[in-house]
Amino acid sequence: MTITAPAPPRDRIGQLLHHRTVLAGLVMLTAVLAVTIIGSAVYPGDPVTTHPLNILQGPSSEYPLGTDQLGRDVLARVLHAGLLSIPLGMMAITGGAIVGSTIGLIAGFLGGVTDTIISRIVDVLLSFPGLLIALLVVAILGPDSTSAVLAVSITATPSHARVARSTVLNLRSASYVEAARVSNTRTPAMLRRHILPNVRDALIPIFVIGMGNGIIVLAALSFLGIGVQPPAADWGVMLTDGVRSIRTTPLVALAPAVMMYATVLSINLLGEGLGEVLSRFRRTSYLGAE
Amino acid sequence: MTPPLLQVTDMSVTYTTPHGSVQAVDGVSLSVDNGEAVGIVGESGSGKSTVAHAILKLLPRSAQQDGRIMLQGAELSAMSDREMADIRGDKAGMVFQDPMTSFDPQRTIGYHLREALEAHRSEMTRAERQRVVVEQLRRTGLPEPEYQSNRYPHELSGGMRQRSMLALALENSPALLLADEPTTALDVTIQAQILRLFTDLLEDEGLGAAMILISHDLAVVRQVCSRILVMYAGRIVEDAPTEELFAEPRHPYTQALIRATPRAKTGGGRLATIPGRPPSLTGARTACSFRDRCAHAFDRCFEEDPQLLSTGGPRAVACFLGAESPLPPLSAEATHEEDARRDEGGPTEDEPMVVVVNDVTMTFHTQSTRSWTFRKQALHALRNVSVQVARGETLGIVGESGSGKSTMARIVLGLQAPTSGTVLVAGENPRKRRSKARTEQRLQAVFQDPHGSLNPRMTVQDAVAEPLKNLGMSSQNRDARVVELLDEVQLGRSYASRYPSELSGGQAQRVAIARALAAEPDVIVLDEPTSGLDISIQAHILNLLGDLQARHRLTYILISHDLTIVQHLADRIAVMHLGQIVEMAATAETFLAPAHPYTAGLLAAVPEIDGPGKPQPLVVGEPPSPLNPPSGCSFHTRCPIARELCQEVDPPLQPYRGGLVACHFAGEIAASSSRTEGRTEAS
Repeated sequence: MTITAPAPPRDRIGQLLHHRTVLAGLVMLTAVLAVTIIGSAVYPGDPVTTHPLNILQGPSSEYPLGTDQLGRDVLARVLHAGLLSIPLGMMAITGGAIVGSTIGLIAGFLGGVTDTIISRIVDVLLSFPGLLIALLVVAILGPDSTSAVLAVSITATPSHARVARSTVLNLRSASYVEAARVSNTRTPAMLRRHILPNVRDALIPIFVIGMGNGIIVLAALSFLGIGVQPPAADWGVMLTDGVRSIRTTPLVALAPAVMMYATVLSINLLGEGLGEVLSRFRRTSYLGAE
Repeated sequence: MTPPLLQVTDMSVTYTTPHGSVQAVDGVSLSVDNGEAVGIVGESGSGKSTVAHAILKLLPRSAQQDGRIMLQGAELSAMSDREMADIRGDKAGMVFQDPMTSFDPQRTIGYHLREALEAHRSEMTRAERQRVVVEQLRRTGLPEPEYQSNRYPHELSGGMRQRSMLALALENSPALLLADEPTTALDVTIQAQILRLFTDLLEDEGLGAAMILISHDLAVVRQVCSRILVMYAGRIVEDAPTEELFAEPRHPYTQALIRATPRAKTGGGRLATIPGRPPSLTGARTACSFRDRCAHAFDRCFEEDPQLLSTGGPRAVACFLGAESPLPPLSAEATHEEDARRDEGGPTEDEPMVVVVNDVTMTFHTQSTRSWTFRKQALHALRNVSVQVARGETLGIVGESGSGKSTMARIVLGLQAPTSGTVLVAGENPRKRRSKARTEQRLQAVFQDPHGSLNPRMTVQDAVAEPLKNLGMSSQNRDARVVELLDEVQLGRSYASRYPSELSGGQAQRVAIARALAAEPDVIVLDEPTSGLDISIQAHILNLLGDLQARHRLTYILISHDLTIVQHLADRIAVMHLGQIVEMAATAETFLAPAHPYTAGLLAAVPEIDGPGKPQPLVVGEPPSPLNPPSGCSFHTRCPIARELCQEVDPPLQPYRGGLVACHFAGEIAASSSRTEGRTEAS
């Protein structure tokens, strides 16, 4: 049967924006970021000032989302926490992704003993739950936001390494890579033209989804008191504060939870959609008849 | 007159896609009588598979299916899914192309067969079922059926799986057997065995089942079927008894398709091709869908859509011209270029050897899957292989899967280092970074999967320019050269900005050929360059390769499982079996008088398009495992003339009548094969 050829991949941005899931994720993420950035700049409330006379209040015109047990403005804290939690989570995953994919690329490209050693280390790391590794790292380095970010980075490393490695292995036996080798394509050009662009497309979705996960793990560490330290506002820290009074003033815990949920959901939608579109780019077969 | 077994009336199948609705099958009517074997032939996209699936209502939900289907008086088209489940596997059996995907990998072969009995013969006891299963497997020629029925699909070879599939399809004695490309994935010797099995089971054993055999290969269908339906663009364009169809095709498409099929036994030369490509199946039909590719088209073909009409007797054709009278013959289209190439008759004696492979052995070490120890098993992919190829020559390498021919290609290309032995291309080891084979790109390759050999993210321009870039050519010169190369492979320059996903298989293979030509190489290794392409497209590519060789004095090493293709291009043929060359001789010699029984077996197994006759499975059984090759001559387990000596002594490759043969009894088989003799006399 003859079907018109799929839309050409030359307009990649256009194709991405046409994908419903990608679009939904983007719109949602933009909204979350806009609320966080503009809100924290415009809203006059201070996230750390305590108001001992106004503790655990419900919503009012003065405190739109009420106050916590130290009388701090919940809205101000939620907005400022976003400014901290989102960039920290992204930073952590970016670091882990860079290290992980480099390791994976090296393992896949060099092969042999290097590959065996790297792969076994990656296997060991993957066999522990991410949170456990993060806890271990923080336990060693001491509880503060820097070590929490480092911990989350380390949890993100093995998954990126594994995907990068397997993609390179697949590519190495691809006919077009062999054809390029026969045409005397040197290693740097080979990496630049054939390997890296394809590895990048395979990594982008797990990188994006990893960011959502990074934000959650970071919040979990803060929630346990070993991540971002109070009085700084962070969604995890806020949850710790909020759970104590969840029966009387649920907004204290609910506000950061909703923001986190919205952020992670939008990132996941985006990642999932990207994965779908990018795999479409990688498809080579032609749907039409001769 | 009794009503036909199967009657399909006005079947249409429409797919709804994001790009509009596609009419995959458009008003097909056909009937099959009891015990009749009908072939459906067409190229990819013709709708032949869709028809088969639609008959048993196996199409995905996205397909809209219309029309009436009557099987033995029951109207399938009106049945529910549950009622259809009772029909499938009982009144109608199916065999598909790849039996691996038709079996559940978690279940044994016997389980599948017992399950089908359980579903339709619930009154049988367990012991009875097992007995029937073994009986069925024995009938389809599976060796040691009791033992094999307890094995899992992946433990069986492709041929054995297809035999089991056939046993499964036939065990409830269906009235109709649907076989969709049942031998396409198999080696030619196994294909001959399976086709023979079909004819034996259907005709000789009086099974009484009718069969619909779907294939892209006219020769395969000719072996088995008594009537052939030719499909084009979702319609049946010709319906005729087999012999009449071949003797006098009435539809121009049938005529062109028969001409475009390469023949193993009638010499090389230029193949007829079909210009253009099949039409899009979207939108309404207002004219003949073959008009733009037809050699005989006239005014009416552009104005009116011809219907399938009887020409009197048992034939029908959808062509204004063919309905009236036999078609005029197609004009010969051999070019001077081609004639010149043939006249030269390959390289002359004093040409230098451009590729020298000397005593190459390749051993892979694989982890044994059956053993608890970590001991590795040695797989001998190549054993003491030596070949030399002269400048301007085409060496064809043929063999079944697992014969080592692809390993050979990789070693010549320098993609893999041999375990021992040497490879010289233009006097140097191609694996050496400074060798001319690499720096000047004297050596190039065209691979099997045309889409897989193009980076999906690179435009045609970038792909073809890559070798030039590596040579350090300026971007201006590169652009000019790419245009030149695209012209040379008969793709317009408008293709330069396309991506691989916008190319058909044939177009992608042209791009791969253009890329291989870019740096003006001496040697091109062609690894299965046309497998996976339709016959008319294959003809284009083969002609193109022939022309290019004549124009640029190229040396080809052509690797293929398909003898007919090798025949068309090769000056000399090396036949490989289990990592060894068993015969090497000039093409004409090899085809007229094969000296090695394996060569004779391969030749006899190729289905003949030019004459009736049953497939000849001269070579029996499956290829032995390269992990554990037989003692002595590695072919003795399958050889029709093997004797005691063959089990003990491995015959060396020695001169025989101008070629080289590794057989103790070289030439014996040629004299004993009547088909071979007939061929010799005919030519």
